[in-house]
Amino acid sequence: MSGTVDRPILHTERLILRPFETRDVEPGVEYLITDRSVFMGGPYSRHDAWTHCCHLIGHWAVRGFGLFVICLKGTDEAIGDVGPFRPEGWPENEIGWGLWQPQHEGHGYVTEAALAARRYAFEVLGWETAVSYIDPDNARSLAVAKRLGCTLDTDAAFPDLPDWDGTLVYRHPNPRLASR
Amino acid sequence: MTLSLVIPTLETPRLILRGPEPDDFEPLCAFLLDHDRSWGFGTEKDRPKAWRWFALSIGHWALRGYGYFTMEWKETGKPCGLTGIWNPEGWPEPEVGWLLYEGFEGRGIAFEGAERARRWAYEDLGMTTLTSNIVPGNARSVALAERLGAQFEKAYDNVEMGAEHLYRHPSPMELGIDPNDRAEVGV
Repeated sequence: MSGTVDRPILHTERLILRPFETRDVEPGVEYLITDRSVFMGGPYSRHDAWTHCCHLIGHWAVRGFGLFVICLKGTDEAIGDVGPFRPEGWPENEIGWGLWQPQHEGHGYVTEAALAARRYAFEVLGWETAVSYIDPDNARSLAVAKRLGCTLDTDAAFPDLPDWDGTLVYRHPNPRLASR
Repeated sequence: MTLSLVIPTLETPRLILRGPEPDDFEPLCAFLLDHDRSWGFGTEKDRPKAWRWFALSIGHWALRGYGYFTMEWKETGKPCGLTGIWNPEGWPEPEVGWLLYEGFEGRGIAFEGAERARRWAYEDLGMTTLTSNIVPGNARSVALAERLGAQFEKAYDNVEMGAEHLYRHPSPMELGIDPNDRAEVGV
């Protein structure tokens, strides 16, 4: 994997999305060790959180795409992550997201970021479809999925992993077909 | 903007040590899922977990500037295992690690690769000491550590593996590696 991987930067009205990289591991770990990450498989031990973040960087190297971190314009501090995700065991391509700190809730940042990341996945990566896997108790993420125009797909498979029983699969509209 | 992963390629008489490539996943996965082979390294329980470890091993290079090389058997170009320097969050200190795929044991391959990786860490990274963490009862790894000149230092509790024995490798000086000779790494 020596060499270089394309690292796109996405701009929205209020946000900059850039690929998850080494300087994002520390804030990523601080998020993953708290209860906020309960719907992302957390809370993690510090070691597991660190290795999880490392694997997000490796995901970019192996797949050529991966999760972006979300930064408020004018800052370079990651406040969450969003984007195309396809680790081993996922039955299809996912758009994932997470907001790392409570003070950033309620501004619509995740929706704004996910719209840009989804457009990137369909228009640049050429995806034909995408889903988001959401825990039925994760009310905030369910609301984001609805704002993104996703619909529940009860026929779709979800990753066959421990503790994933009952996971809801929301399918994204194709932004190339939607009239926005 | 690009992500640059600077992973050198090293050579020994019979091996190439190079950075991980996507095709390295399947042989690594077979190893990680086979408890009989991987219990001393860390068995993964399914393919998603094995892939996660593979991806993390690449991210480890990005964060630390060192990590696990794929060992390639020169004669055939086939990957025969991993060796390198490993130090994830929570580790006591950087360690020399190794694993061999099925069919490559008994030829001194792990010794040849690990010795080269250790020399690289001393000469090129400027490390001044190295360890190897070994699960008690892993006689093959103890034998290799001792062949590399490492000595038992202490028992401790590893954040991932539980009870482990820490072996200390000879210092660069003891190996005749003069740190003043080491290549200056430009920035």
